[in-house]
Amino acid sequence: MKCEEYRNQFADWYMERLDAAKKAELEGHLDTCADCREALAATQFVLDSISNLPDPEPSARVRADFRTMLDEFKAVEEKNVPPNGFWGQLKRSWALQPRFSLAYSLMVLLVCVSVVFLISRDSKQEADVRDLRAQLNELKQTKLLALLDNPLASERMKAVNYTGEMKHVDGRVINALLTTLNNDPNDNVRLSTLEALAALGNQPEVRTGLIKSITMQNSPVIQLAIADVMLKLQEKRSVGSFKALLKQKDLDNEVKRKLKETITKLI
Amino acid sequence: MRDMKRVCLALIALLSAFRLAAQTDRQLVMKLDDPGKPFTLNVNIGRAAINVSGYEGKDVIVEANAEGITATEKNNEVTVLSSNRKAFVRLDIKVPKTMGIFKLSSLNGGTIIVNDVTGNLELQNKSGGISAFNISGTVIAGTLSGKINVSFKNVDPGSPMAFSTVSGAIDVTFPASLKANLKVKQDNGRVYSDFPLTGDPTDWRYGKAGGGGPEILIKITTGSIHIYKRE
Repeated sequence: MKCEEYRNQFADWYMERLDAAKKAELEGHLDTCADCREALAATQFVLDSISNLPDPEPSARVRADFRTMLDEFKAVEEKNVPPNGFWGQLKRSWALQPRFSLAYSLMVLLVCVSVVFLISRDSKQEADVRDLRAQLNELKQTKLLALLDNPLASERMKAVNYTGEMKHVDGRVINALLTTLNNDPNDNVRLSTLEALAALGNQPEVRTGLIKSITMQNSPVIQLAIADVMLKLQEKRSVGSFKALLKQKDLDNEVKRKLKETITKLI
Repeated sequence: MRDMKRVCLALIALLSAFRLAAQTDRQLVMKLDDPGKPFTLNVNIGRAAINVSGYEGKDVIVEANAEGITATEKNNEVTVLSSNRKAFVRLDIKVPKTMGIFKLSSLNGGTIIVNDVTGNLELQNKSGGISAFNISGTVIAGTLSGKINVSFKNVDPGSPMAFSTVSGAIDVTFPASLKANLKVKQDNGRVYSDFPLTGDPTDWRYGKAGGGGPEILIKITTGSIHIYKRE
């Protein structure tokens, strides 16, 4: 350590604020360095003189002035603070030490910057999530459309069941589901498609598609199920289609009974 | 008197067995291009009783009790056809126990029976029952009148399934470890289920087996549904 650094510790040594190790080191140095001993003597003299100075008694005027100032300050505070706490506080901060106000300003600046950063990051993340969700939906729709052409009935049913997980089912998917409902060779796939479409019954194009599909169904399983769906949706426009279906030859007796019952309930 | 009866019955049994044997005029042994790899079996015959069972072998063996049955094999896909769609035929088909896709359909006259196979089964009948026992995989079965009776050894965890008929009965037995969303409906019958179901008994009823999974749809118009848990 250089003499300069030892000398910086003189004040602390004088006030006995050095830890044992540093104190021992400093004193060891003083034993070998005459210059430093001299410097310490000078510092010690100054510090001794300062601590030996008598505490001056405040004069009567100072005391009176202080009292007036205090009273004035109290009056101002009482007047200002309650109605205008924030501004009062701000003014007080204004009057504080410059470094304090600088720190305060820096802090405000830091807060502003981080808020802006967080907001921009949040909105970016939100946009990312939205984007990702849209992509996922798109991916699901694409996967769904591809799966609907799969030769395995269970894969086609998987596709149909995907619609239950989708937030938004667009026209493309609805059309694909309606095509499946009308053309799939497997009764069970058509049955599960019908149920998926029934869940989307609040969409006008789904209802129209379902009504159109009634006369295209030739399996009693679907004919019976579509009657139930129309009843649940209270779709009175389906009555015409059911009447047309009733005219078809070779209609299953159970289906005939069900269709008549459905027509009566809907009218 | 009782002995006479026994002798008669034995004679009848013997004669009918002989008659059946005489009728089994064809046995087709279909070698797979890639044995051990997943294979496909397509049977689409209007009037047929189809009996498929898994065995410890590599070939698909088709036995028919009528003329006009042909089978082809291409890229591990075996297709069985009948040149006379009006004639009734009884088919006994042996398949390897390895993974397969089974698309079996008939219109009338017979039951579709599948035993001890692994894979994806699409079983479609019109007037006739469907039975599938000791199955590992996925089953989609539908008929219009007839009983559906399916029992699983294992279930493909990612695949939806469906069982439907207009009149008859549906009995399905799943492993206790089943994870699925059950969706069940009957109109004129009753539902018994080992897996808890909730909902209006006159409408669709729902259940989450093992916390839920792919959908299993079971629907009958007239008849009862039994859903069992195999312990």
